[in-house]
Amino acid sequence: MNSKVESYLSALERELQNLSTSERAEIVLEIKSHIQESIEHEGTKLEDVLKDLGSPKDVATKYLLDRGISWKPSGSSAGASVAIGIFKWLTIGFISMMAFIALMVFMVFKQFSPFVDVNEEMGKVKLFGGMINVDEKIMENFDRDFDFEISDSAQHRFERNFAIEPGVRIETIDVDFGNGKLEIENHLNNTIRLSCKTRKSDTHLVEPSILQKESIVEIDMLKHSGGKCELYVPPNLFLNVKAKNGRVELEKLVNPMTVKLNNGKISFENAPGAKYKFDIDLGMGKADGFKSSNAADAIEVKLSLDKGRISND
Amino acid sequence: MILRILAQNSPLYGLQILQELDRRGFATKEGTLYPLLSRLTKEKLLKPQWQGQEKGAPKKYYSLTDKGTKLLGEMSEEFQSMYLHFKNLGQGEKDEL
Repeated sequence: MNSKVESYLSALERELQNLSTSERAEIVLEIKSHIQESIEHEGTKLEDVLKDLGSPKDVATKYLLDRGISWKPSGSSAGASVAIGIFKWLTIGFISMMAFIALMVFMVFKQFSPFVDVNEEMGKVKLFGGMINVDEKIMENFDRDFDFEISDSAQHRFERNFAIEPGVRIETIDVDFGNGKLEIENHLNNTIRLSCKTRKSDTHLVEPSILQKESIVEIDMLKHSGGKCELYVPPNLFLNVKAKNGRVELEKLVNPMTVKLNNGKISFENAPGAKYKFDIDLGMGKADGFKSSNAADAIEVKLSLDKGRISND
Repeated sequence: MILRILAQNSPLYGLQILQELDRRGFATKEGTLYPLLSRLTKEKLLKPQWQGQEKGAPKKYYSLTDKGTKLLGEMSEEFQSMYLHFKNLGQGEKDEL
């Protein structure tokens, strides 16, 4: 048979896909019969027969409309049913997933409680009953050298000297420090010397004051923020240091002391030959390397830190 | 009209019905006739019958069913009464004028 007729009939059959196979076959057969009859007995040209019939889509539409089945563009009905199928499975999948998550949450509550367990001695934090262990690794942050160094051009430097006059008895040095790096060293002068570097742009800077109140020398650097300060103190005076955040470096000091820092790192370097009796008070973090001496002449050092690291280098 | 044609000459196949309609001034497209025949068949007003040919494709012949004949009768009566109704209406208007 003519390939034009074949393609017309197969197109018609495609368009009639919503009908049953037998109905479809019957319609196609009748149209085929009509085409043959028109050509063979009426002598009509194939082109005219097909033209008179109308396009396969138009013919199919009339069949479908007569049956109350609305016509859909070919291909899209298959696409739509696929889309509905996908939507159905997505919905089922979503509901199953929510149920699974709910189950997991319940299991997590049951299995991994307590959620947070802070081991202060070890400086470890247990999360979800040990599923996540946070130990010294998280504390490496406190080990980093913060940017306390400032380039020369941007620096603002200042110094304070407080000479302890002969005959005046000073027992304690009180230091209130804000944020930044504080280095404390001994020197053999009978003066207290403070040398600070900070950024010029730090307009909120209030230069520290050194005041004497009876046997106490008070150094107020609480408003000091950022930068780096070096404090030189005579040996043997009691040091009472309170700092907020940053780093406190205690370098070869032979003073008895109490040092308290909120967050950051306290480094303690032993003076050669000195013996210390350490009292370490750590909130959260890590302390290492401290070897306490029970000798009678051991220097009492109390280091206190809320969060961070205390190390004895 | 298809029912009337088939009541007078039956059975007929698609192309013959088309020619009869054409002859009576009801020229119908092929693409319209075949779906219509299909619908009338579904409504059991027509009875199709395939008949093989010695030469060429088999043809689908249509004839009226009892239901089709009955409906044609009812429709004819309806048409008659409507015709009379309109005729009287036209007569009444003429009388009024």
